[in-house]
Amino acid sequence: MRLCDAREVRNRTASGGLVSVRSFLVVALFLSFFVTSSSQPSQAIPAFARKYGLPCSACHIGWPILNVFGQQFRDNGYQLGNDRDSPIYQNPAYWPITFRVTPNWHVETQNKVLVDQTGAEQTVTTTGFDLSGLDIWTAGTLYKNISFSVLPSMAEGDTFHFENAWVRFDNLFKTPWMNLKFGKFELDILLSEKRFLTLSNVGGLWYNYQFLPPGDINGFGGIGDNQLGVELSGHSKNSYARYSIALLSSVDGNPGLTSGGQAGTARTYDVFANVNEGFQVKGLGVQRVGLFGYFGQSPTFFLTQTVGGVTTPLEAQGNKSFSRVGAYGWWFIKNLDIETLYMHGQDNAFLGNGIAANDPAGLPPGAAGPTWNGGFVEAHYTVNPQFILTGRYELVHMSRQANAALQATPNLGNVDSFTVGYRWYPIMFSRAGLAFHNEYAQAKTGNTSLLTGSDQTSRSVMIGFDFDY
Amino acid sequence: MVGNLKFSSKGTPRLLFAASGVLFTFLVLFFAPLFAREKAAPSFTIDVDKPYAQVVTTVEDVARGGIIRGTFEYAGDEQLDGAKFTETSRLFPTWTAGGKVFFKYRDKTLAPKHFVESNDVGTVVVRYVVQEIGPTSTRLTIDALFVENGGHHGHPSDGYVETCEFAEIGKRLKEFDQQETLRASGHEFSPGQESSSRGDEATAEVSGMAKAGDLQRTIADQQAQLAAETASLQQLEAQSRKARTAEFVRISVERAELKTLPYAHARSVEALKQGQEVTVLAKTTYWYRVRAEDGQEGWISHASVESHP
Repeated sequence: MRLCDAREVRNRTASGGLVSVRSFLVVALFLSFFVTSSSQPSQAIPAFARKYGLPCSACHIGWPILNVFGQQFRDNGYQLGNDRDSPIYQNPAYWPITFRVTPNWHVETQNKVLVDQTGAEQTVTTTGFDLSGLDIWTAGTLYKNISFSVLPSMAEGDTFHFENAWVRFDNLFKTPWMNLKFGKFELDILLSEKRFLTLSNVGGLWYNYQFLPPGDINGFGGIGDNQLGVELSGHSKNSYARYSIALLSSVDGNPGLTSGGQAGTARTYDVFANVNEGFQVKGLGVQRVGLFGYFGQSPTFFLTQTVGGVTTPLEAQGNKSFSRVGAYGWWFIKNLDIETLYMHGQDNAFLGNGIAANDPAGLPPGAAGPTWNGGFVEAHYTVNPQFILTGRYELVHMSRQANAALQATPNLGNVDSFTVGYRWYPIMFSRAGLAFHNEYAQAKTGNTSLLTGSDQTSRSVMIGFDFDY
Repeated sequence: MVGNLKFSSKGTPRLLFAASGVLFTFLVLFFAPLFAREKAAPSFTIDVDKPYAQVVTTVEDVARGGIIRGTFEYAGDEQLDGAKFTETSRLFPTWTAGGKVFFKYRDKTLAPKHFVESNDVGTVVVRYVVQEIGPTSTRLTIDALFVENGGHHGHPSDGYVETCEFAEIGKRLKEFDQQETLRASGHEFSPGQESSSRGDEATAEVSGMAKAGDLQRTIADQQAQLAAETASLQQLEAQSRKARTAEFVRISVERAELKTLPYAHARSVEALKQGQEVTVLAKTTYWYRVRAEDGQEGWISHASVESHP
């Protein structure tokens, strides 16, 4: 979906200058919000509750956030590790599939949008009743210590895609420290965008996980995207101490060796690693801290073949590096839990400027790899397991723009956002879950308006019913 | 989605968001009453007309039994197995009010039922406190608690665990009484002694005498059973007389739910109206076992009644 032809981007940047960059950002943000929120993958499985005859609260603080045991269960390959894993205990009517969809009503606005009819910037507002994408998730064990997950997902009008599909060999050599996962999976980071509580267009993502600077042609969608590869992971018995290291295709999770958006061109690999530790604080419970890093490559141009006037990309070329590193903490104070994250991002100068690596002369004056820092604080207050309040403040600020021209607008690309909301779960049984969801989110992006270069603010209000069964 | 864009005046978004804010607040307020927490039950306390030593023995026996009743992890189960006995527990504050204290605990328990807002994995603990309040009167207090390993949150029982634990203790106390009654009536049967006293009799007579012995045993058993039932009936009648003469109370609230068990979430048998008189059959600290005018029996909160003038 993102721009994949470096020359195209370079040409547009050269001719359109900052305006094109802003245009790109506006469109990219708009689309990424829409795509992200409309296909929010499910990560709560009533099917597990059905399988074991356990309440949802055995694994969730509030669906879909995992509690200590839920994390342990997940790390153990969806196994309890006792005789209840045996098929003789399972309900014959057990059906290991969960459906999730969220009918909702929402309002979206964005200010300072340049419109054709007036030739001026104005606020644009849309509102109406809507549907999220549909998730159909099945997961469990194929055999003792062989677990799996398959999650086909689709938005309205889309074809199905696999949000995840993997098989995992658990407890290799009879130790929880050795597990091997193969396929398309969520990156193993404890603060999971797949299991958070916000769903609106503006608040339904962590900007840090998805961020790309304006004009950047990096094909990497972000830490929040599921990726294709193989992962070695391990954990202590109580899952307080955990590690994972994954070798991933540089395809941003897209099957068909799709690098930089071009199918059949991938030839490089990325690495993601995470380590986290939990420790008990007297009277408060488990606190968790962790470190993570993603080190990857993304193409800047493609070898192509033109037959009959049709040009086909053959192989990704000019791969340039990028990295995302960060630290996080998850703090528990009675019924309040607070997630904190810091992340530093860096893309190569060719990626940041949208220039093919075989054309270094095309780099603009003062070209440099863009860097940025960001973080968020997100709090959940569990009034009781059926009612959770949530709030988040998040920012991403550029520390270095990609070239001298962009340095003139140091705030370009910065994101400042906050989200507040609550979820009420009138139904949380092993058969089904229903949450009444109400959320307000706002995000300001720096200097992105096309006409005046002003900051733009997007807002979402969402009221909906998030249910799975 | 882009195709649905509407062009609006500057005021419209503000109005929409203001309306959304009002709606947001309204919904929070609307649902607030529904967010009420499950209620924790107070300690289960009951005075039993049994000697202290007998109650201590029985309670310790139940505490060592390896089963916690009234709660379970997996749907379809009825109790927690694998519980262990201990005389100390850091999950309850130190008991300083005297008496004998026992604990029964079960660790690695998953979101057990009948604990308020139960979730995650943790330890279930039942505490029994036995206190002597007279030569034949003993106070028993039972509390059950679930504490998460991760968050250290304590989840008190909704009362069902304590009720079921007491039911087992009560049952054993009754069995003890029956055995004592049998012993007192001299109808204890010891097959070993009987067979040895008849060891030298002629083989031909053995069969007939054995039949006679069987008959005697049957009669003795039936007499013992009759004696036990009669004693039990007399005890019940005495209790009933005591209750009738001493305890009539009147419903003091507009509507009081008569429950099947002494805890807030128990099923309601019927609703009693203000002013209606009921007979008190038994008392715990917070609940009365009562019989309504229509003969229906059940439990009612002590806060719902007032003494008969």
